[in-house]
Amino acid sequence: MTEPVLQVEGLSVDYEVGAGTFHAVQDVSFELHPGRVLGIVGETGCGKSTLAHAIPRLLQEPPARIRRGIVRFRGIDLLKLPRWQLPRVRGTGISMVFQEPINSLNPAYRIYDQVAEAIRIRRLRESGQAPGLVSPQEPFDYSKPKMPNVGEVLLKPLVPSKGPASRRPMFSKDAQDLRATVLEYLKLVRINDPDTILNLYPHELSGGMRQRVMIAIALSGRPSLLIADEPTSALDITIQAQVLTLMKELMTEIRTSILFISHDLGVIAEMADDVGVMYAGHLVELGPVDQVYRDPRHPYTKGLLRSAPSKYKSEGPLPSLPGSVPNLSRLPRGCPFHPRCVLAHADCTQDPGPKLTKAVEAAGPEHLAACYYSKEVPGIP
Amino acid sequence: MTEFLVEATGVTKHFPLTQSLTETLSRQERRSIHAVDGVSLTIGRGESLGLIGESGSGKTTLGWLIARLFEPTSGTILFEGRDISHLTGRELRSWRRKVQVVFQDPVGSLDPRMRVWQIVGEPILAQEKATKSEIRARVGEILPSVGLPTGSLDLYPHEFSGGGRQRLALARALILRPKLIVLDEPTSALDVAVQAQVLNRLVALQEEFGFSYLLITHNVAAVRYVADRVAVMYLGKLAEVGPVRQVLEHPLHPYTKALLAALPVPEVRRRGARYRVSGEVPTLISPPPGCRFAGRCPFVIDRCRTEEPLLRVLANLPDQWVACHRVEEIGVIPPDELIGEAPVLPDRPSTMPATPSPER
Amino acid sequence: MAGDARATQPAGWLSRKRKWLTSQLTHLRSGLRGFLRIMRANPLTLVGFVMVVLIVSVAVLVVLLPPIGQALVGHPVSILPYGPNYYPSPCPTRIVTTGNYSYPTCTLPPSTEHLLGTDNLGRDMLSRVMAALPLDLAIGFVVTAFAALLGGSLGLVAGYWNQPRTIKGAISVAILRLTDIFLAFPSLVLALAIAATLGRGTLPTVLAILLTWWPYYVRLVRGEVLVVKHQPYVTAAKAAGLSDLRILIRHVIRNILEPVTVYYTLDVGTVLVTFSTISFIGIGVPLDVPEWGNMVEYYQTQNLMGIAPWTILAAGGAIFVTVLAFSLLGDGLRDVLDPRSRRALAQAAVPTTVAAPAALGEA
Repeated sequence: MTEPVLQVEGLSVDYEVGAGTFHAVQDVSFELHPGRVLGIVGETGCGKSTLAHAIPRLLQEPPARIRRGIVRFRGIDLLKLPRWQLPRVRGTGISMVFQEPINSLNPAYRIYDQVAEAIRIRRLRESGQAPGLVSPQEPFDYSKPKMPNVGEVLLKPLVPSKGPASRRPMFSKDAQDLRATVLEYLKLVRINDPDTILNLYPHELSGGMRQRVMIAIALSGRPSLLIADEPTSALDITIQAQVLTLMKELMTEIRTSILFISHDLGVIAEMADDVGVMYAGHLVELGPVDQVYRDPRHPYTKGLLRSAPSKYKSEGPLPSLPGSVPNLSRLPRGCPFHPRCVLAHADCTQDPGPKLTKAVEAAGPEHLAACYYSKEVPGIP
Repeated sequence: MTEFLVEATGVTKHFPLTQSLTETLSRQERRSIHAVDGVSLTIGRGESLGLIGESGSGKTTLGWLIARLFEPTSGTILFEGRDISHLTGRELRSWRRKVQVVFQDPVGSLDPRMRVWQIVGEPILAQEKATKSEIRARVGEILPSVGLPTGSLDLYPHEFSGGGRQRLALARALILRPKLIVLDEPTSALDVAVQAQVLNRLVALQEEFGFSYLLITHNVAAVRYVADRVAVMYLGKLAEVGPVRQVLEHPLHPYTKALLAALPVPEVRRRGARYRVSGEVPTLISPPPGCRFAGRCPFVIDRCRTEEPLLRVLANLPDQWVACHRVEEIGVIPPDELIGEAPVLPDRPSTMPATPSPER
Repeated sequence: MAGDARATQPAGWLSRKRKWLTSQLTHLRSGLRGFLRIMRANPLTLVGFVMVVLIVSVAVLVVLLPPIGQALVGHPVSILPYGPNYYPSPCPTRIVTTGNYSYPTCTLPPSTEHLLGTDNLGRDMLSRVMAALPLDLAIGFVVTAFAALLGGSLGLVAGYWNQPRTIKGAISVAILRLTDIFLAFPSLVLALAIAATLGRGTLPTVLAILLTWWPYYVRLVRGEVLVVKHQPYVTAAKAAGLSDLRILIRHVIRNILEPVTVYYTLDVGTVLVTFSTISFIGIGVPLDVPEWGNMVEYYQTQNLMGIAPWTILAAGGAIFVTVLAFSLLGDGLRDVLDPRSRRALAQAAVPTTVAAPAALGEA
């Protein structure tokens, strides 16, 4: 088996707000292997977005605080890295795509400038003018990681700023080359008329088009890891289908690993190879997506899958998950799900709660569940 | 007594755009957003009608027209046989007791500074002379029927979870026992597990009180469970209307097919290419003649671009209305078999400004 | 009749009363907790709050103690060590030497007897500063309040009835254009011009400030109304059939009160400074009325800065401290009422206990 791109071990993130401490992510561990897509699914406030932002350390600290854990990205523990070194990892190592593309594109710059900026940074990294801590992927190939000398890296300046690319002469060979690369990336995300798009501002594009541009920007750094935080939740259904198709096609072209966050079980089913289910800050189930969906081994996953409404009125009431998500500052003892769980026994209320372990009698060894009674889950009606 | 509770005929709503000074001076015709364009539909007594569409389809505008939060530009809306499309002032206010609205945003639609009894009792205050203790008593009666404890009369909305707030909004709509409740995206802000609870409650309440629903949503699952009939809207026009099971299982209009095929389903299934429509929803400003879906439709012919298809009923399906010229040829093809038939259309960027949302 | 009802059902009435009391107490307690949270989040707010409370109570004592004393013991009692305009004649002097000159002066530096020293007539500075406090504070509070009321109501009208091409819309536009005309002049210059035209005196100065101050509240309130007006809960109220006036009172005014209060708190200090400035220039309050601005002006014209700086510093310091107190309080309030931090607080306060039993009932 290859070395994982991303290894998260025992990651815990708290928010310290006036009224108390919210345990948004608790003791989450998983691995993401090259070229795979790991989907993280969960309800609002389960900590999935916090997890996504904690990995490239984009959380605002305070109020957030990474209590403990290891986030090893291509061998580097990001949590031990000094803060000012982080830009050297982001972009060319880890990129992100967010939910609201209108907020993540700068309204004051043309699309060209925003894509070119990302490509320029990657070039600086590649040419050694401002090397990153991890090298960008070789053109769409993860297999050859090239580590620069860390001591040398520390002495180099961070990205030297040159101002918006459009103000610089467009006639030099460099500029023409950059323009060609920008066009290439816009074509990659299936924008049919990239020459027009280049000169537009973000507000002149539709939501779907903006999200394509965001994906182009994210990919142009040739990252080893792409974190997509609800990338299609703000889009309409038919547009969402287009963007999902695009991402799926790109996955086969560019072997980037993707951490895909969504609240939508359907989107995860379509996109992910593996799926992690989060509940109240805990990763309660993890495994290949077909196994988890066909044979869930945590009562919460089972309830979540059942409650997706797909019935007519004449067919009786919809099955629903009783109770509601607990307050993250006052989690129940033991397993966080036990107050709503039909399988709960006395030992479920004891601290520490169940750890993520191999589910009993599951189809494969990669199927993990944090439940003492995972064997009985298939028996829940 | 007429057969229908609501009977809308040719309802149109145009929002005029602001003109620049040069436009005004050069006597240009005022451009407008055609949010709803000549829509006719009916809602029966005790029936729930689902209205599906994507953003910018005008479904919220249509719902607000029927609730008379907007005045139609043209067309008539009959409510229990009475034309309500141009009611004003006191008459309009007293008519409102028959129609209540549950809004999309359960956080924003509850005044953060009011207590539960004040929020839920607001329609009583608006319609009747009632003392504080009367209002409190009636609110206390209604709360259990939406599944909230009676003791929560003095709480503030922020003390409730998202689902709890939506129940409060529902209680406010119920308290005057209206004839029609317009549900504007009632579940879009809720998680799957909570959604199921709210949908169950909606259906149970309808059985108990017997009012009609107009359910406006992009959530097909919600429509499937709550609605008796469903209307599909695209760019201010109805594309298809029919009984819910028939439309969702055997869609006729190419747009309905595309919408249903694009739904992500929580099942691991064929991950291959599926029937997708390309392109984006165009703008509603001065739409071109012909079928509104022509720009994205894989089955488009020249006739679609010039002649507007009217909502018509097919010979063998008496309840299902569809607005498509070629429905006889393509209507029978199930969405999943359309793979490969969809030609790749030039994916034009919409350089037009985004449509201003009519809600603002 | 009410007495009868009460007599027939005393127990029920009592228990209802008790229930009401306990519910009020819980609200009070939760309100107090919110207050404490504010204070913990921004300790400077607490400093400002304590200062404002102290300043206001001193002002109240200065005004109310003499008549109360008159009633109780037969002669006025005051917390002022001396009268504001009382000077001993002849006054105790000291010799000041500047350059080659030596001359006697009544200005005495701060001592245990005169905590802030005395001025050129031998008047106790502490007494003067304290005696000026009620007037200055009243100007700050009352003038701002009038400006807020006048401007606020105009802003309410301009914001709420702003449909174009109607009579209401025309009124709203007229209000806004009038506001613009007033706002086109720098507020201090306009106030000075009006004060100078109306002549010297307390009332003209007050009028001058009032005339320049209201337009800001029109702008502020109109902006807030426009925001609140488009909130979904206002649409919901409309859909319920509430009339415009009721919506205005129930929803709009209630929700704009917070930002207006913050602005008001900050404004009290600004008005005070403006008032003092007008007096300082010499077109405000007459010299015999103790007022901080004209004290600074008077001592400055008497060239006391060199030989008796405490006179000017005492009056100036009083202005400084008062304005600072209101600024701290207002800033703190603004922090707390900032929607982002407020949302954080609200989120922190979400209990799941309310939704849970209901949701369980659903299963």
